[in-house]
Amino acid sequence: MALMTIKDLEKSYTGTQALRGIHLELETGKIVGLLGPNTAGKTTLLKTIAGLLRPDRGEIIYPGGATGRAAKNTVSLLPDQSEFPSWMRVIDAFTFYQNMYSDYSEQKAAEMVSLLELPLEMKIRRMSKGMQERVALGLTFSRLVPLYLLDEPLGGIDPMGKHRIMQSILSMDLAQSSILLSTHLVRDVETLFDSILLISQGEIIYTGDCEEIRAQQGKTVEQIYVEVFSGVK
Amino acid sequence: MLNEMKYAVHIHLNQRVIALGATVVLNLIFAICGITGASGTVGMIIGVTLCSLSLCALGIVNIIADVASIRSLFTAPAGYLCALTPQPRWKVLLGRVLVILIWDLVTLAIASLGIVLQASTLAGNIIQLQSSTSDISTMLWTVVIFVLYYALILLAVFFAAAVAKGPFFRLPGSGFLGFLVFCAVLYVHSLLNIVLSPFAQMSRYVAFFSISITPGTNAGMIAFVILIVIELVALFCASVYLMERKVNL
Repeated sequence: MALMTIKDLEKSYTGTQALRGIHLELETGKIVGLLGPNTAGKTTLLKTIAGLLRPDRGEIIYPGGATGRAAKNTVSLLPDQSEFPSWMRVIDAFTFYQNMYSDYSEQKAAEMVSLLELPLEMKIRRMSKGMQERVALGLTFSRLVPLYLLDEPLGGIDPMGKHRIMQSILSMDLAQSSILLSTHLVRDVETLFDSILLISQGEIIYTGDCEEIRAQQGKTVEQIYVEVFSGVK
Repeated sequence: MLNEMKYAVHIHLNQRVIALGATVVLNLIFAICGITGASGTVGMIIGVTLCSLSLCALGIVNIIADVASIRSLFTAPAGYLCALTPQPRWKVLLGRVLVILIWDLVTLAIASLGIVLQASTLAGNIIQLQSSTSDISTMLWTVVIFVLYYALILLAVFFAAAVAKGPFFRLPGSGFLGFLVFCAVLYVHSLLNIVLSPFAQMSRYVAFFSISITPGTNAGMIAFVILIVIELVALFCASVYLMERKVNL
C-alpha cells in the first residue's frame, strides 16, 4: 500500500503553471530522488505536500489518511531556504521543535546532534551556510514521521558537510517512513536513491527504479538525467 | 498557545529589554537628581535630553520589534518555522497578538511614567494626580477603552498584512495595499462610531474623528466596548481565515 498518493496536482502562480497534473505514489521504506533543473517545479511540489502552498487542483492522500492540519503531523520538511530568528541558538531551535511537534524524539534529536556535530550553544545566524543546513536537517530528522521532504539539502555545502548530511540520511530507519529528496546535483547523491522522479516544467516526465537502471540498462542515474533532459530519450 | 507566546516573546527580546531598562534607569536618575537638587540647570538640560532620547529609542525599538514579529508570520522564509507546525492558526495569531500587545502596553506605561517623572522634575515637585471616586471610574473606563483601541489598531495591522500577503503578494505595491486596508479598517470603525454617537452623547463629527474618547454616559461606554470587541473578533476571525486559506509562503 502506498505511503502517500498524489492525484492530478496542479498549482500556478499569477499566470505561471508551476505544477501540471502531477500523479505519483510513494512507497514506504524508500529514498526517492526528485530530480530536475531549476524552475522545474521541485520546490513547489515539496512545499505543496508540506502544506505551505495550497494546490489549485488535485488531491494529496497523506500517510494514514490524515487531512487538513493533521497532515502536517505526517510530514517533515527541510525547506530550500531555512531562516532562523537572530536570537536562536541551536538548542533553542531544538526546543522550539520539541514544543511545537508531538512527534519530536529527544533520542533522535540527540543522535542527529552527535552525527552532524552541531554546537548546541552557538547562535544559528552566526554559522556558515553549511552548518545552518546541518542544523535544519537535524531538526527535520528529529521528528518521527512517515514522510521526510528534503529540498536541495546539499546546495552550496562543502564536501565534508555533504558527507555528514548523506551519512545522516543513510542513518535513518525507514521501516515506517520514506524520504523524498529534491536536488539538481545528481552525481553527489545518486547512490542514495531507490528510485527517481524526473520533473520538468511542472510535469513528471520520467520515473525509474535505480537498481533496474544500473543493472538492466547499465547506466547511472546521471546518465539517464542527461539523456532525458537533452531530449534523447 | 503558550508555546507560541514563548516563541514570540523572544523576538528582539534583548533589544526591548535593553531599551526599557535604559529608559527606566535614565528617567529615575534624572528624577532623583532633579528632585534632590543634585543637578544644576545644565544638568537638567542634559538630563531632559537624554531621557527624551531614551524614550524615542524605546519607541523605535518597539516598532522595529513589532514589525519583525508581524513579518515573521507572513513572509518567507522567516515564516516557515511557524507555518510548518500543526498549531491551529488562531492560536498562532492570538499568541503573537497578545505578546505584542503586552510588550507595547508595558512600554507605553513605562514611557508615560517617564514623561510624568520628567514633568515632575522640571516642575520641582511631585505631580499629584487628584482623584475622586467618579474620576477613578472614568479613568478605568478610559484605560479599558484605550487598551481595546490599541488592540484594534494592532489587529488592523495583522489583518492588513494577511490581506496584502495573500493573492496580491506578488504584485508590486502589496505594502501599499496593506496600508490602504489598514486605513479602510479605521475608516469603517469611524463610521460605526457615528452610529453610536447618540448613545455616547457625541456629535457625529467628533465621533468620526475620535480615536480615544471617553463617552459621556454609561450606556455610551458599554456600547463602545461592545463595538470594539465585535470589531476585534471580526478582524481576528478574518485574519485567521486568510492565514488558513490565502497566505502562501
